[in-house]
Amino acid sequence: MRGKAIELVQGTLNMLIFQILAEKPLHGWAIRQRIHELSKNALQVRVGSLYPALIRLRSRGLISAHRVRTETGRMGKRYTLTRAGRAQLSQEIAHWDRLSAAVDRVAHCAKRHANEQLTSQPAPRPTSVRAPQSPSDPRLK
Amino acid sequence: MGRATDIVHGTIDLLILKTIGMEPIEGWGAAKRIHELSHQVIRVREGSLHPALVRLHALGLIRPHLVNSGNRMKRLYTLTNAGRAQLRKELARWDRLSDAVDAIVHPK
Repeated sequence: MRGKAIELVQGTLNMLIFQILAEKPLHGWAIRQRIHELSKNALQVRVGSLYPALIRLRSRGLISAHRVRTETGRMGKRYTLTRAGRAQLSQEIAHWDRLSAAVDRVAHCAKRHANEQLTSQPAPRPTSVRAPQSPSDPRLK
Repeated sequence: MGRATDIVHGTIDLLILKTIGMEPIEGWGAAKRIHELSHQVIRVREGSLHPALVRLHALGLIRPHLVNSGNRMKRLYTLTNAGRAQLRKELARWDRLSDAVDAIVHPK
Protein backbone atom coordinates (compact mmCIF):
# COMPACT_ATOMS: atom_id res chain seq x y z
CA MET A 1 0.00 0.00 0.00
CA ARG A 2 1.51 3.32 -1.01
CA GLY A 3 0.50 6.34 0.96
CA LYS A 4 1.45 9.98 0.76
CA ALA A 5 5.07 10.92 1.30
CA ILE A 6 5.86 11.44 4.96
CA GLU A 7 7.37 14.65 6.15
CA LEU A 8 10.33 14.19 8.42
CA VAL A 9 10.60 15.57 11.91
CA GLN A 10 13.65 17.73 12.46
CA GLY A 11 15.80 15.25 14.35
CA THR A 12 15.36 12.60 11.70
CA LEU A 13 15.98 15.10 8.91
CA ASN A 14 19.30 16.14 10.48
CA MET A 15 20.41 12.53 10.69
CA LEU A 16 19.55 11.89 7.03
CA ILE A 17 21.37 15.05 5.91
CA PHE A 18 24.50 13.80 7.72
CA GLN A 19 24.14 10.35 6.22
CA ILE A 20 23.73 11.68 2.67
CA LEU A 21 26.68 14.06 3.06
CA ALA A 22 28.82 11.24 4.48
CA GLU A 23 28.69 9.69 0.98
CA LYS A 24 29.89 12.88 -0.72
CA PRO A 25 29.52 16.67 -0.65
CA LEU A 26 26.33 17.86 -2.32
CA HIS A 27 24.25 20.93 -3.04
CA GLY A 28 21.12 21.48 -1.00
CA TRP A 29 18.76 20.52 -3.79
CA ALA A 30 20.75 17.34 -4.41
CA ILE A 31 20.52 16.33 -0.73
CA ARG A 32 16.77 16.63 -0.96
CA GLN A 33 16.66 14.69 -4.20
CA ARG A 34 18.86 11.95 -2.74
CA ILE A 35 16.57 11.49 0.28
CA HIS A 36 13.56 11.23 -2.01
CA GLU A 37 15.41 8.79 -4.23
CA LEU A 38 16.81 6.52 -1.50
CA SER A 39 13.47 6.37 0.27
CA LYS A 40 11.68 5.62 -3.00
CA ASN A 41 9.69 8.79 -2.40
CA ALA A 42 8.33 7.58 0.92
CA LEU A 43 10.00 10.52 2.65
CA GLN A 44 9.43 14.10 1.77
CA VAL A 45 11.73 16.97 2.58
CA ARG A 46 10.25 20.39 2.11
CA VAL A 47 12.46 23.17 0.83
CA GLY A 48 11.16 25.17 3.78
CA SER A 49 12.56 22.60 6.23
CA LEU A 50 15.78 21.75 4.42
CA TYR A 51 17.42 25.16 4.15
CA PRO A 52 16.79 26.24 7.75
CA ALA A 53 18.18 22.85 8.82
CA LEU A 54 21.31 23.38 6.70
CA ILE A 55 21.83 26.84 8.20
CA ARG A 56 21.45 25.48 11.73
CA LEU A 57 23.78 22.53 11.17
CA ARG A 58 26.35 24.81 9.59
CA SER A 59 26.24 27.26 12.48
CA ARG A 60 26.90 24.36 14.82
CA GLY A 61 29.93 23.31 12.80
CA LEU A 62 28.46 19.95 11.82
CA ILE A 63 28.52 20.70 8.12
CA SER A 64 30.47 23.27 6.11
CA ALA A 65 29.52 25.08 2.93
CA HIS A 66 31.63 26.11 -0.06
CA ARG A 67 30.47 28.24 -2.95
CA VAL A 68 31.00 26.42 -6.22
CA ARG A 69 29.75 26.68 -9.76
CA THR A 70 27.24 23.98 -10.65
CA GLU A 71 27.19 22.09 -13.96
CA THR A 72 24.55 24.52 -15.17
CA GLY A 73 26.95 27.40 -14.53
CA ARG A 74 25.11 28.81 -11.52
CA MET A 75 26.81 29.55 -8.25
CA GLY A 76 25.59 27.49 -5.33
CA LYS A 77 26.63 26.16 -1.97
CA ARG A 78 27.96 22.67 -1.69
CA TYR A 79 27.80 21.11 1.75
CA THR A 80 30.37 18.84 3.34
CA LEU A 81 30.11 16.82 6.53
CA THR A 82 32.69 17.98 9.08
CA ARG A 83 34.54 15.72 11.49
CA ALA A 84 32.14 16.82 14.24
CA GLY A 85 29.22 16.04 11.93
CA ARG A 86 30.57 12.57 11.34
CA ALA A 87 30.74 11.93 15.08
CA GLN A 88 27.24 13.32 15.44
CA LEU A 89 25.98 10.99 12.70
CA SER A 90 27.00 7.81 14.52
CA GLN A 91 25.38 9.10 17.71
CA GLU A 92 22.20 9.94 15.89
CA ILE A 93 22.03 6.54 14.23
CA ALA A 94 22.50 4.77 17.57
CA HIS A 95 19.77 6.96 18.95
CA TRP A 96 17.42 6.31 16.07
CA ASP A 97 17.98 2.55 16.33
CA ARG A 98 17.19 2.55 20.04
CA LEU A 99 14.08 4.66 19.68
CA SER A 100 12.64 3.10 16.57
CA ALA A 101 13.06 -0.33 18.16
CA ALA A 102 11.20 0.96 21.23
CA VAL A 103 8.36 2.38 19.15
CA ASP A 104 8.22 -0.92 17.23
CA ARG A 105 7.91 -2.88 20.45
CA VAL A 106 4.85 -0.87 21.45
CA ALA A 107 3.37 -0.54 17.97
CA HIS A 108 3.63 -4.24 17.19
CA CYS A 109 2.87 -5.62 20.60
CA ALA A 110 0.40 -8.42 20.00
CA LYS A 111 -0.29 -9.01 23.66
CA ARG A 112 -4.03 -9.23 24.33
CA HIS A 113 -4.57 -9.22 20.56
CA ALA A 114 -5.12 -5.52 20.60
CA ASN A 115 -6.94 -4.80 17.37
CA GLU A 116 -8.72 -7.99 16.42
CA GLN A 117 -10.29 -8.27 19.81
CA LEU A 118 -11.76 -4.83 19.78
CA THR A 119 -12.87 -4.83 16.17
CA SER A 120 -14.75 -8.09 16.55
CA GLN A 121 -16.43 -7.12 19.82
CA PRO A 122 -18.23 -3.99 20.81
CA ALA A 123 -16.32 -1.79 23.21
CA PRO A 124 -16.91 -2.97 26.76
CA ARG A 125 -19.77 -1.19 28.44
CA PRO A 126 -18.83 0.77 31.49
CA THR A 127 -20.23 -0.85 34.58
CA SER A 128 -21.47 2.41 35.93
CA VAL A 129 -21.47 5.98 34.77
CA ARG A 130 -23.03 7.37 37.91
CA ALA A 131 -21.38 8.43 41.10
CA PRO A 132 -21.85 5.98 43.98
CA GLN A 133 -25.14 6.52 45.68
CA SER A 134 -24.88 7.80 49.17
CA PRO A 135 -27.34 6.81 51.91
CA SER A 136 -28.74 10.31 51.78
CA ASP A 137 -29.78 9.77 48.17
CA PRO A 138 -33.54 10.39 48.10
CA ARG A 139 -34.00 7.46 45.72
CA LEU A 140 -32.87 5.08 48.46
CA LYS A 141 -35.46 6.18 50.94
CA MET B 1 18.77 17.99 17.52
CA GLY B 2 17.93 14.35 16.95
CA ARG B 3 16.52 13.94 20.39
CA ALA B 4 14.32 11.19 21.69
CA THR B 5 11.47 13.59 22.11
CA ASP B 6 11.59 14.63 18.52
CA ILE B 7 11.16 11.20 16.96
CA VAL B 8 8.73 10.05 19.61
CA HIS B 9 6.74 13.23 19.31
CA GLY B 10 5.56 12.23 15.88
CA THR B 11 4.49 8.84 17.17
CA ILE B 12 2.70 9.78 20.37
CA ASP B 13 -0.76 9.41 18.84
CA LEU B 14 0.18 5.98 17.52
CA LEU B 15 1.51 4.86 20.90
CA ILE B 16 -1.52 6.10 22.84
CA LEU B 17 -4.06 4.72 20.35
CA LYS B 18 -2.24 1.41 20.38
CA THR B 19 -2.27 1.01 24.17
CA ILE B 20 -5.88 2.13 24.47
CA GLY B 21 -6.76 -0.32 21.69
CA MET B 22 -5.31 -3.17 23.74
CA GLU B 23 -7.81 -2.73 26.54
CA PRO B 24 -9.78 0.09 28.17
CA ILE B 25 -7.23 1.98 30.20
CA GLU B 26 -6.77 5.17 32.19
CA GLY B 27 -4.55 7.91 30.79
CA TRP B 28 -1.73 7.37 33.26
CA GLY B 29 -2.08 3.63 32.67
CA ALA B 30 -1.52 4.14 28.94
CA ALA B 31 1.65 6.12 29.69
CA LYS B 32 2.82 3.40 32.08
CA ARG B 33 2.17 0.66 29.54
CA ILE B 34 4.10 2.56 26.83
CA HIS B 35 7.00 2.88 29.25
CA GLU B 36 6.91 -0.84 30.04
CA LEU B 37 6.41 -2.13 26.51
CA SER B 38 9.21 0.09 25.21
CA HIS B 39 11.50 -1.41 27.87
CA GLN B 40 11.67 1.94 29.65
CA VAL B 41 12.96 3.77 26.59
CA ILE B 42 9.90 5.94 26.02
CA ARG B 43 8.47 8.05 28.78
CA VAL B 44 5.30 9.96 27.97
CA ARG B 45 5.20 12.87 30.36
CA GLU B 46 2.06 14.28 31.89
CA GLY B 47 2.63 17.45 29.88
CA SER B 48 2.40 15.52 26.59
CA LEU B 49 -0.06 12.86 27.69
CA HIS B 50 -2.87 15.14 28.74
CA PRO B 51 -2.93 17.37 25.65
CA ALA B 52 -2.73 14.25 23.47
CA LEU B 53 -5.73 12.67 25.21
CA VAL B 54 -7.71 15.90 24.88
CA ARG B 55 -6.82 16.12 21.20
CA LEU B 56 -7.63 12.47 20.43
CA HIS B 57 -10.94 12.82 22.25
CA ALA B 58 -11.79 16.04 20.38
CA LEU B 59 -11.05 14.22 17.12
CA GLY B 60 -13.50 11.49 18.10
CA LEU B 61 -10.78 8.82 18.15
CA ILE B 62 -11.07 7.85 21.81
CA ARG B 63 -13.95 7.89 24.27
CA PRO B 64 -13.73 8.21 28.04
CA HIS B 65 -15.98 6.11 30.27
CA LEU B 66 -16.39 6.89 33.91
CA VAL B 67 -16.28 3.66 35.81
CA ASN B 68 -16.96 3.08 39.46
CA SER B 69 -13.93 1.61 41.14
CA GLY B 70 -14.20 1.20 44.88
CA ASN B 71 -14.19 4.64 46.39
CA ARG B 72 -13.14 6.53 43.28
CA MET B 73 -14.18 7.02 39.69
CA LYS B 74 -11.89 5.76 36.98
CA ARG B 75 -11.83 7.39 33.58
CA LEU B 76 -11.19 4.55 31.18
CA TYR B 77 -10.54 5.29 27.53
CA THR B 78 -11.59 3.08 24.64
CA LEU B 79 -11.08 3.48 20.90
CA THR B 80 -13.96 4.55 18.72
CA ASN B 81 -14.39 3.04 15.25
CA ALA B 82 -12.65 6.10 13.86
CA GLY B 83 -9.87 5.56 16.41
CA ARG B 84 -9.34 1.98 15.25
CA ALA B 85 -9.15 3.14 11.63
CA GLN B 86 -6.71 5.89 12.64
CA LEU B 87 -4.57 3.38 14.54
CA ARG B 88 -4.24 1.23 11.41
CA LYS B 89 -3.26 4.31 9.41
CA GLU B 90 -0.71 5.45 11.99
CA LEU B 91 0.79 1.95 12.15
CA ALA B 92 1.17 1.82 8.37
CA ARG B 93 2.68 5.30 8.38
CA TRP B 94 5.19 4.44 11.08
CA ASP B 95 6.26 1.25 9.33
CA ARG B 96 6.72 3.12 6.11
CA LEU B 97 8.69 5.90 7.78
CA SER B 98 10.95 3.64 9.81
CA ASP B 99 11.61 1.31 6.87
CA ALA B 100 12.53 4.26 4.66
CA VAL B 101 14.81 5.83 7.27
CA ASP B 102 16.43 2.47 8.01
CA ALA B 103 17.06 1.92 4.30
CA ILE B 104 19.02 5.18 4.22
CA VAL B 105 21.02 4.91 7.44
CA HIS B 106 21.69 1.18 7.12
CA PRO B 107 22.31 0.72 3.39
CA LYS B 108 22.77 -2.92 2.40
